[in-house]
Amino acid sequence: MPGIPQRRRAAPTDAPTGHPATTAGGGVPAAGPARLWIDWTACDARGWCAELLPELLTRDPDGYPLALAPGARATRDITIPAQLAGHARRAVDACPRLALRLLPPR
Amino acid sequence: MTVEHAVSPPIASATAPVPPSRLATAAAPRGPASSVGAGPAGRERPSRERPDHEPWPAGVHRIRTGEHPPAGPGITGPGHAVKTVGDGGDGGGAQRLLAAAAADLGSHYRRCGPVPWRGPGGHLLAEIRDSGLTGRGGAAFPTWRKLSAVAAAAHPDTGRLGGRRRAAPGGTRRPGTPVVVANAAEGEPESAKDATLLVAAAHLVLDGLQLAAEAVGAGEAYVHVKPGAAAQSVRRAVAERRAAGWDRCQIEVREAPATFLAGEASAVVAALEGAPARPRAHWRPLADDGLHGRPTLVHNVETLAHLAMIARWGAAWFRSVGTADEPGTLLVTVTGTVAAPGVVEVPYGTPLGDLLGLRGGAVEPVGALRLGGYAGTWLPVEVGPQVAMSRAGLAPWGAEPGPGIVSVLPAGACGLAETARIVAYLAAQNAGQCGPCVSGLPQLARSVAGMARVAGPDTAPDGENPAQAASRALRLAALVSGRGACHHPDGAARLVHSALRTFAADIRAHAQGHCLGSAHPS
Ligand SMILES: Cc1cc2nc3c(=O)[nH]c(=O)nc-3n(C[C@H](O)[C@H](O)[C@H](O)COP(=O)(O)O)c2cc1C
Ligand code: SF4
Ligand code: SF4
Repeated sequence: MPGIPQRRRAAPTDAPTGHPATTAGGGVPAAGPARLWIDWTACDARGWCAELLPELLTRDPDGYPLALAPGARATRDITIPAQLAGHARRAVDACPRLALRLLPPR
Repeated sequence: MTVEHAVSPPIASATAPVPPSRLATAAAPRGPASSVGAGPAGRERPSRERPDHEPWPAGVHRIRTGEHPPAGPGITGPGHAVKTVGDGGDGGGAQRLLAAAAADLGSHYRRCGPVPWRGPGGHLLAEIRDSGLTGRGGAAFPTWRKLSAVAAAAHPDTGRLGGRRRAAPGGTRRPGTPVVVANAAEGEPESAKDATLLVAAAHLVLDGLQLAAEAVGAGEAYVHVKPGAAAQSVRRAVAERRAAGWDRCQIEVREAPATFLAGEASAVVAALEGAPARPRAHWRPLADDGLHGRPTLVHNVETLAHLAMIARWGAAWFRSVGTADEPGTLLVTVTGTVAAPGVVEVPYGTPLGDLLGLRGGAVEPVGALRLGGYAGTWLPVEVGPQVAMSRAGLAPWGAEPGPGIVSVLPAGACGLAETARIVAYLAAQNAGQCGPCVSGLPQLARSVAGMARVAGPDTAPDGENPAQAASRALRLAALVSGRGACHHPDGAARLVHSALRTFAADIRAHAQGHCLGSAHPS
């Protein structure tokens, strides 16, 4: 399995590059919990996100991220509790396939 | 909103007491059971003689006999679930779209009049909102919300009707001129309603496309249509309209590939951009970011036809049939073991027995029904013919009308084998893009095939026993749900879940080495 990080990396200090709208609401701080969106056409099951966000994600037998919350519809509705927002951001920035995105609350 | 209309609605109007039977045209298929009770000859038996294990015998099972007003408009109080109009021997059908059939633009004009342009602003949106029209492509999403979202994306200050504006994430994009698309890809192999509608009433659909284009301020309109008679009909209609100067927004006809996924909305947009017709991962709705990044409205052709009717005859007319929560009619493709498979138009809330009766009823005892096509839901025969074709009526059974397909499985057939066949098809049709779907659907298909095998002689030496295969299928169905760029895996999972519920006794029988067919009490 290619490079799975062993532990959480330090938070990036500057704005992420490459995918401008990782901040929920396009730079506007979100009011409620954000959601994690997965581009399933891009994800190649490297599993970094599950390592960085073990509270919310695990991996299925093929290595693809799987929401832990029972009944979560993993395409759109992985709700990010406020206390995990920073970790979620790091997971988004760490995904080598740019397959993750934080969406504003509905 | 009251508008004076020069042209009378085809049915259900006090001003036009024309029985639907006279308006129904050759193009509108009518079941042989129009003469009630005649059914397939000799199959109707009195209910007392029905054996217990055969709760839905062959033949026509009318539910609303005697409940209909004899002819003309039938308006009942709000307490009534179903208002059926003009039971002119059509057994509860209500011809609206199909009664607007017109061979050419001239006869369309004589029947329906000119396009009722509404001008810019939210006039039509308000009428559509009041009508309660929902999308007929499968998800039953309120049509006015989609129109409103596209209008708002294009004109952030004025477009949205009765909704709050949200700042589009991503900042300062210029939205561009909206695009409207009529979706007639009809990728579902069992469905025939879109093609039937286009062959019968292409001009009605195209009027709806024009009116939707006007409502959202679109600059281009497309018809994404599967090859065959439907495409020919649309091309002919568009040529006539061009010659007559009928349209305000240019319509372009594009042929859809004949795949299951070609009609998924983001695949439609991809195809119109010249890319393969495969779904796209899109975190912003197509209403904000569709064809070449422009606000894009994709509607099923039946939705657009209803829209064109509502624009002419108003929301109150539209609501005069159907139920209070699910007004209007819907087209339903009836397929499987019925006397005359084909398309019917019925009000929401029509009992399934009446619906099948319109196509001559079942020709064999019914084993199970499937609602919503390949990506639909199995219903055990115990639901009985009285269950209503509506979201409310089907919800207790975990089903919904979906894209309007009722498939009838004979009691002698094995529901597990049928499910295995369908899941194998769905697995083969995945667009090869999303890991959990690409890997999960074929595994799911193998497990369902394992359920469909009878333990014993035809079990492979290393094969799973049908009961083990069933629990693996349950796990895999949960694993693929919601984990793709489109809802294709969800549909396959839904079908498998419903098969596990409906055919539990068959799985036990298969595990014990015999097959019940689907006729059994469970
Ligand atoms: C796998 C899949 C296949 C679909 N195929 C069709 C189709 O063939 N025709 C169609 O109108 N909608 C189809 N849809 C639904 C469309 O994505 C879209 O919701 C619909 O066209 C919207 O129209 P409506 O609002 O009028 O219902 C499909 C959806 C999925 C997930
Ligand atoms: S989403 Fe990104 S980080 Fe997570 S498994 Fe897929 S490719 Fe890896
Ligand atoms: S979920 Fe499946 S069918 Fe849908 S786009 Fe992804 S791979 Fe294709």
